[in-house]
Amino acid sequence: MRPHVLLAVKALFLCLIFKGYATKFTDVFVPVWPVLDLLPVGLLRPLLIAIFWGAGTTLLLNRAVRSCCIALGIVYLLAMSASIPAYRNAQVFCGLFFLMVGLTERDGDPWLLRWQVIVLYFGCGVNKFCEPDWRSGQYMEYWLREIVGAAPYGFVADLLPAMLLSWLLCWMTIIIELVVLPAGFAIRRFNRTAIWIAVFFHGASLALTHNDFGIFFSAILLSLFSFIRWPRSITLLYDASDPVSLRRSRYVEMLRHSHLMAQVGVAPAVAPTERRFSVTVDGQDVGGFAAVQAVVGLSALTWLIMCIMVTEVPVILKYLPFDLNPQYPALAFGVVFFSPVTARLVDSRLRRRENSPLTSA
Amino acid sequence: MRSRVGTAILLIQLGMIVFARFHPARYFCWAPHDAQAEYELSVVVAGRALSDTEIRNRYRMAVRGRDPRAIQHRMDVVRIYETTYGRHEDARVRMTYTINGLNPRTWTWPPDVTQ
Repeated sequence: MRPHVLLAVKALFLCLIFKGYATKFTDVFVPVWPVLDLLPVGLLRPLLIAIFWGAGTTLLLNRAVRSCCIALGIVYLLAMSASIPAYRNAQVFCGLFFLMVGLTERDGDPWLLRWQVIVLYFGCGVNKFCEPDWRSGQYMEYWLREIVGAAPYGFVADLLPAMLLSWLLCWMTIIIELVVLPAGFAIRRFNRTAIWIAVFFHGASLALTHNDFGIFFSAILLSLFSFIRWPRSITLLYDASDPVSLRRSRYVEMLRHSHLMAQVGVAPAVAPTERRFSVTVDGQDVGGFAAVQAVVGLSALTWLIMCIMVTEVPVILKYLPFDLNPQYPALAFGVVFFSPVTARLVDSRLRRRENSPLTSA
Repeated sequence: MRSRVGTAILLIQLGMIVFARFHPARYFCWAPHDAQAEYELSVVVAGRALSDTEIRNRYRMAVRGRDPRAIQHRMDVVRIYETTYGRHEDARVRMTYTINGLNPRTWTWPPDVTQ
């Protein structure tokens, strides 16, 4: 299995635990498929919990990873089919996430997961487009004003003609889900743009409604890993005789040791030409802040911290001295830190500093 | 072989998306937050009105509340329960609901019964 896909499924498993989904399984009760009523009473729930923990732990230990993913996928699809009152689209997506990864060929391209994401957005788009209240804007008006009580929405909507803002939001959602994201994810060269649109789309939804839709927010962001071109190797080149380079390399080495999931090779070597510290990704020299982005982005530790923040792990949050929803800083960090705009800004600032008379002197 | 199974699962989902155009239920077809239903249930079993707790225990869902999924799912719970587990209990169910805050409607079980 490719490292970034393995990283994504492991992170999803951890997110499910952090969110408390590890024990939320129910027994068979009014199932979607009546045949499930034939199972003995009281059997399904303990069975699902046992498989969840068994397969998930084995997955974390890198043993039979694809089989574990199939098992986890079946657990969630079975759990959602076993009880209509417990049916949740987000958990169905988690089940299919695991299943599609498990069904991917060994070391193969994760195209099944990518198409799962495309089908998800396309289905959401079609269903919304076919609802008269979505086309008229009534859905957003009722949801945001009456149910969510979104003050920014109410403020702006009251300044505009009645239903205009809700109509715009509804159609923007429909177009993004029905056309923009499916097309952007289906055509490889638009993948990067589609990832950014998806992140902003779900981030805006989170900010406006203060709702992460259970596990959906974490799961959909993790599924975007399947669209990333993950490097096969990363090489750190530094001059061991230079104290600054040596210190920097130690920081990177710390991150490398925390590659609990993704495997990335770092080979110390003598620095090439004038630069005393550089990072090579898939044989290509990556300079400036992009190198920092590569090293931090390829570290499993980064994504573990992001998972903890995005899922709002209560056991950790209660020790914080302030009341802050950590989803926002996590999202802001991800967007700002990994943005190519940030890399350009940081690099130009560093270049200015290097060229300034004070530094030259 | 694995890829074929995966492809079949994707095609089934596309089939469910099409099926949802002809049926009010929205299982496995990606329809979260298509509508905001607000509903309230009242149940009479063998001539006695059930309390909120009894209704919640009977159907394992809230007596009144909101649901961002198709209201048909709530109706399915009642219909399936009353035609399987509770088929001998002569229950009369009434659900009043609105979709996206509009047009209050009433659904009953059995379909031809008014309370």
